[in-house]
Amino acid sequence: MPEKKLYSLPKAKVPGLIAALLKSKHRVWGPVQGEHGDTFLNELSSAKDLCRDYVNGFLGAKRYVFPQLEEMFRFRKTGAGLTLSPPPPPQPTVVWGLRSCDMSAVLYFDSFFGRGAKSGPNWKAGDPLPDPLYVARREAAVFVSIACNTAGPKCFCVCTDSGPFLSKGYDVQLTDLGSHYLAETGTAKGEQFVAGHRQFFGAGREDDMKKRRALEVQAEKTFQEPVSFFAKAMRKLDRGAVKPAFWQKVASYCIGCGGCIYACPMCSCFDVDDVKISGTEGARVRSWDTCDFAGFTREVSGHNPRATRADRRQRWFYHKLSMDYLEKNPVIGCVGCGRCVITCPGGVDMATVVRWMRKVE
Amino acid sequence: MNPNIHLPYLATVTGIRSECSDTKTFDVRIKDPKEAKLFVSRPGQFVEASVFGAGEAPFGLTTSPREPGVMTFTIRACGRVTDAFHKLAVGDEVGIKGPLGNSFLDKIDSRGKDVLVIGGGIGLPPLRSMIHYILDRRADYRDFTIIYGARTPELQMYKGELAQWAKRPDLTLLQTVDVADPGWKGYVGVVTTLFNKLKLDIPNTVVYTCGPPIMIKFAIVELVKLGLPDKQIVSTLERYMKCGVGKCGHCCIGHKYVCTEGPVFDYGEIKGLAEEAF
Repeated sequence: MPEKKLYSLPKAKVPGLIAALLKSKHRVWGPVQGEHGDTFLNELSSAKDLCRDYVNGFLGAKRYVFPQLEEMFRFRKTGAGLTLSPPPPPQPTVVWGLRSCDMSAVLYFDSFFGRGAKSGPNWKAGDPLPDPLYVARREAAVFVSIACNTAGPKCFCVCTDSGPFLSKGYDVQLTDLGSHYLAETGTAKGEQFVAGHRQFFGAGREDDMKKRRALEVQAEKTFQEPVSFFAKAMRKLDRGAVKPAFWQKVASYCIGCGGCIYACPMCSCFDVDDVKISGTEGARVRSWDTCDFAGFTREVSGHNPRATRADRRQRWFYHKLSMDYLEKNPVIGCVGCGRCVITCPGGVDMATVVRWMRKVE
Repeated sequence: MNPNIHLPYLATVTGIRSECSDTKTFDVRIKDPKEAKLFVSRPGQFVEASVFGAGEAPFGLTTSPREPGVMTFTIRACGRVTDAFHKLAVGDEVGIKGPLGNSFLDKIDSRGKDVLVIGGGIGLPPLRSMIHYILDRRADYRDFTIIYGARTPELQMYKGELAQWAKRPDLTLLQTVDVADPGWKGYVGVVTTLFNKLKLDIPNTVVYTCGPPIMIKFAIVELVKLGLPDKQIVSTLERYMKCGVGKCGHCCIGHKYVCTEGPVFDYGEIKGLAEEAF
């Protein structure tokens, strides 16, 4: 991608664009409003489903790139023996209106699920391998993210370098400028998407870019959740200052529901199971799993390396905040979306625990 | 390894042997000759093996075959997938992903050194791949000692092979059980009680161990007391696993994935983990 290009997209043209995408056999995911007023990212059946007035949905783009339940392959018993068939390739998809934090989480998934080009005979032990299911979904989709002019009440993406505006990684980034969006293309795929639907987009204007920059500065002043000092918490964790008693305190507030993990756009652990489809056919499926459950590490002998809730809480925060993981991945394991803050019934979410960790003597 | 990391090779069970009341050993061959060529294992590696409909689980390979596409693993019936394996007959089809993980050969080079293998119960099968590797190249190694502990004589793995090893002049086999029966001629007690029978040349000994977590833990404590350096203590670790290919997250110890960065670790690496390995 040589340089990013600017376009404008009148809001009045969005329904037409969505309708055109659906008509041309694209699947479109976007924010929809549920019957109880909540918002979440879902597949749209018509342009009318799209919700355009929202801060962030309860479940983000993880639902598309890494579905809660996903077939890995099917197995069929035939007269000649077993046959295995991987799922059909995903249809072309547009993920519309995901927020900067969720786009950042997808970029992290790229490095985790998509990581490593090596496979086949040259693969050697220890080499990371690309996950074919993730890579197929990722490559089939164009991601049109929308920058946040105002932070939500529990957002802290400004502390994790994953918002409120992004400077790269998106295919197209929209900025709400009132009657129209400024559309910035960030990849060749994004450029192709705009070029393929040029009738909906107008020319980009330099003064829109000035407005966008001013909005970014303004947006950074709207954060209410005071969690800015991740670094100090991470340093304490890395240097062994966070003792078992700390995790026992965290665990005493935790009810082990796994909500923080299901809601987390960066949590990627899964369970694998075989399910029956008919007498001669079945599927291997994967589904979201959580390190918060005792069964996550319990072995058949009954031995459990993480037997207590304190062990399991320590695991989650270690995975996300340790220098070991920062070195493995380019980013820490949090995009500051605030979903765990909203979800946790015990109030021991990322924001709170980072605050406590900073104060550890 | 299949480029689609979640898709197993189809394979046929070619042999089944009973080891004890709840454990069987399976010989398996990958069906497609092209896929079979891609399957070349090294000692210490494992596979994710499937009975379709029941599921998939990780099993250590117990031999290092000279022919690609063939493998042997030993399974105790103790859950959904392992019970399904025990119901199989020769000729049945299974799924194989692998070979997965690293090898004993990726750690310190034990050629020209004394080798001590410490196995407990069903921890012997993964070690057996390294034992075979060494016996195939016996002249490259110095003294070779195997300590094998089991709960009872009946629960020993590979009884016929143990009898052969016991007869070999180039191998010392010390067998112990927790609870003996009237016919038992070996030792009684945990594996560490046999350490005083060893004359270890500390700077020139490499230890390979696998067994129940509690056994590995105490064996390492004793070996460290004897002065064995961390790099010379090599263990293969076990963790509950779902995918075997570094994605599902179940087998992590600290930031290390047992499936792709192990299962073989030396004690220096184990000590450096952010969580207790045992």
